[in-house]
Amino acid sequence: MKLVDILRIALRMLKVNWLRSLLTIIGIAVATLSIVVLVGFGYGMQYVTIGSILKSKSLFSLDVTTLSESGAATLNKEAIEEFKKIPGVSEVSPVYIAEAQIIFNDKLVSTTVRIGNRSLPALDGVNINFGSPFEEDKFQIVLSSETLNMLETDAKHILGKQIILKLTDPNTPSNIINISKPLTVVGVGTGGDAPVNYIPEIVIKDLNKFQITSAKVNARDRDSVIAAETAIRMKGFQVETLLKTLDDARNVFRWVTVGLFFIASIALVVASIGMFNTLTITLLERTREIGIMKIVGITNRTVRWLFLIEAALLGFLGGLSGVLGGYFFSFFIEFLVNKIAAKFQGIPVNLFQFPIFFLPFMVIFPTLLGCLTGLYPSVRAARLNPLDAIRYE
Amino acid sequence: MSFFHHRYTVHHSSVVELQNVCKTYWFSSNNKAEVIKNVSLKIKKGEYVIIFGPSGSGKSTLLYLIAGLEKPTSGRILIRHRDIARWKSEELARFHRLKIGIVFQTFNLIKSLNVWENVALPQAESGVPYKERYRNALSLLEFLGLGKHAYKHVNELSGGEQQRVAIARALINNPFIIILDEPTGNLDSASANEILELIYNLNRKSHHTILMVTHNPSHLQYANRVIFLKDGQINREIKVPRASRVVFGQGQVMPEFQVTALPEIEKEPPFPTLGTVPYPGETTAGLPSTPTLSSPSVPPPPLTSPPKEESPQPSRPVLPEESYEALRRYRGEV
Repeated sequence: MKLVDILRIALRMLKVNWLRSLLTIIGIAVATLSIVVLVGFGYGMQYVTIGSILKSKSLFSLDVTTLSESGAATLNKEAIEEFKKIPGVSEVSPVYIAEAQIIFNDKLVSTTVRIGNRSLPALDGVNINFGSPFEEDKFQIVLSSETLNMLETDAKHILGKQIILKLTDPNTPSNIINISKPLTVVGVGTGGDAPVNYIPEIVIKDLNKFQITSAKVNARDRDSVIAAETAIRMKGFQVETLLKTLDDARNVFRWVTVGLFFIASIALVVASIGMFNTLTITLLERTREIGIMKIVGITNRTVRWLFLIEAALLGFLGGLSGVLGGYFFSFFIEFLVNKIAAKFQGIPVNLFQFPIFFLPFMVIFPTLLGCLTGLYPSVRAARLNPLDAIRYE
Repeated sequence: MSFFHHRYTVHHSSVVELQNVCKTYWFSSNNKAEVIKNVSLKIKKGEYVIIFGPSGSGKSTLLYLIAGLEKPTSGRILIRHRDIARWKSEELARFHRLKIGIVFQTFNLIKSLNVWENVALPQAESGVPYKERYRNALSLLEFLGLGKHAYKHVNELSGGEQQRVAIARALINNPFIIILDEPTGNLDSASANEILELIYNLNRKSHHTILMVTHNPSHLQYANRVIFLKDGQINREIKVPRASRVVFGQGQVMPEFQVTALPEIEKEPPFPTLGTVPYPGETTAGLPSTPTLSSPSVPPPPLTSPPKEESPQPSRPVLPEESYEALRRYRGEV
């Protein structure tokens, strides 16, 4: 029999016991819906997290630190110069970190400053929202918005004004290094890993007291990142790249998503058992009809296909309605969450994400599962002896 | 003269041939039921043969053997000179679909399909396009006077109508033989007579070969030949004179067969169950002895005896003459 005709008869068979078919389809649909929503949520979290990682740092930047082992290469000015010679490297900045006190308008705030090149804030992933980065040969400072909060002021009032900076001596913490001249505030930045302020190297007279804690290296493109990473590693330094961090994050979320998928799949397994039950009862109910079909010359193959297609149809309809339902349900949840978030001045987020392959997959998967559960009843139906079957009551 | 004309009118070669066929059901190593014992028989093209016998005589089993639904324990069954016991399931399915039409006592229609879809089902399997098989089924139903029921649910029809749908299904692929297993067993007498007339006319007017099983002696005058089966063996064979149906009309038993209309047979339930084949545990040995034809209490009157005084009831024609002409056309004879 042609596939179209098998499909036509299978649909008719579904209609005969429409309530039972409907309930089976609903079972599959609910299971599919839960998978779609959970996995969509997993993907959504992944996008949100990776998005925030990307926002915080320049994608092609490398963090260079010294290895903790003894006899490892030390980060010094020579090493920084060598990094600059590595092909594919666009910018290098040493990073000194110092404990600092900032005095403005008779207010004193304890915070941290990072000392480096003009490009350092950008390499750290800091956005300078007001003003500009400092000039490397001037007494200037870039403050973080958090420091501004502590100083109880805002960008408008502080830009162009002067502040007084005091640093803690890293070797003898009780010692205070006074900066001879006040610093002009040229920029205010947000983002980055921690609320830190930036000053150029020129500000500190006695830079030798400080040690380079790390270096920021920026590569031109994706391939250069890997080349620079290996080159620096060869020199005996420890390198961390954002690409690797991203890969790690992706890996973690992949496993989280797979985990969510399997947890939700339990519902699908239960629904499949229900479907199997339906099909077995259908087989008993239809024994006579199968006998008649065989007697009028329907082949065993067609009978087998009839059952398989019916099971596949149940799975397909369940999967399709589950995917559509899950899609709209997740939209609804997202809408609600964002509405509540808006009330508390939160930023709207995309809680759910559906990769292109995932939704069709969630239609095909229950269909295949349907075929699988239909296998046993279909084989049994095909093996029925026609005479025994028509005598079956 | 067309090929079909030649094929259906000139020759009477045997289309079904049984050679020493036995069928034994084994329930255990020492418990068996010999349902068919050494039966040999030939059915010629265009013949109307009735297998007649009491229940438990094995007549339905014999029918199922010929239909290929049961395999013989020994002996050969040749359908158009080919041994069907050797056929694989695909070949058998093709045989059931195209070469043989089977009609049962219980109609055996598929309830989830409507009337015309039931009729067209064998053609759906053959891959006949939807429109074409719809047209075929509808024209067949029209011939059988069921045109207006084509879209109805099977259960909405009366028994007689359902049986006619079953006959339409048997006819759709234009088989060379139609096999009927007590087709009137579940019908009231009026519908039964309609079905009998229809079968008779399918044989006489559109030249179908018919093999029917019955236990009702008043059906026998429709056939060309009656084979008496008892305890799985052919007891007697009678050729029925051509005019018998007209002479004896409906519902009457020919004097030739009156001996068989003894109380035991008439006492059979009006709606016998389909299974005249013994089920496991049931053997023919324990059945009450039915009167044998070889020991008639009344000698049968000779066939040449004048018919009864009363004028024979003219049988009510079930279908107009054009229908059979159309059926012949459907068969490609005209």
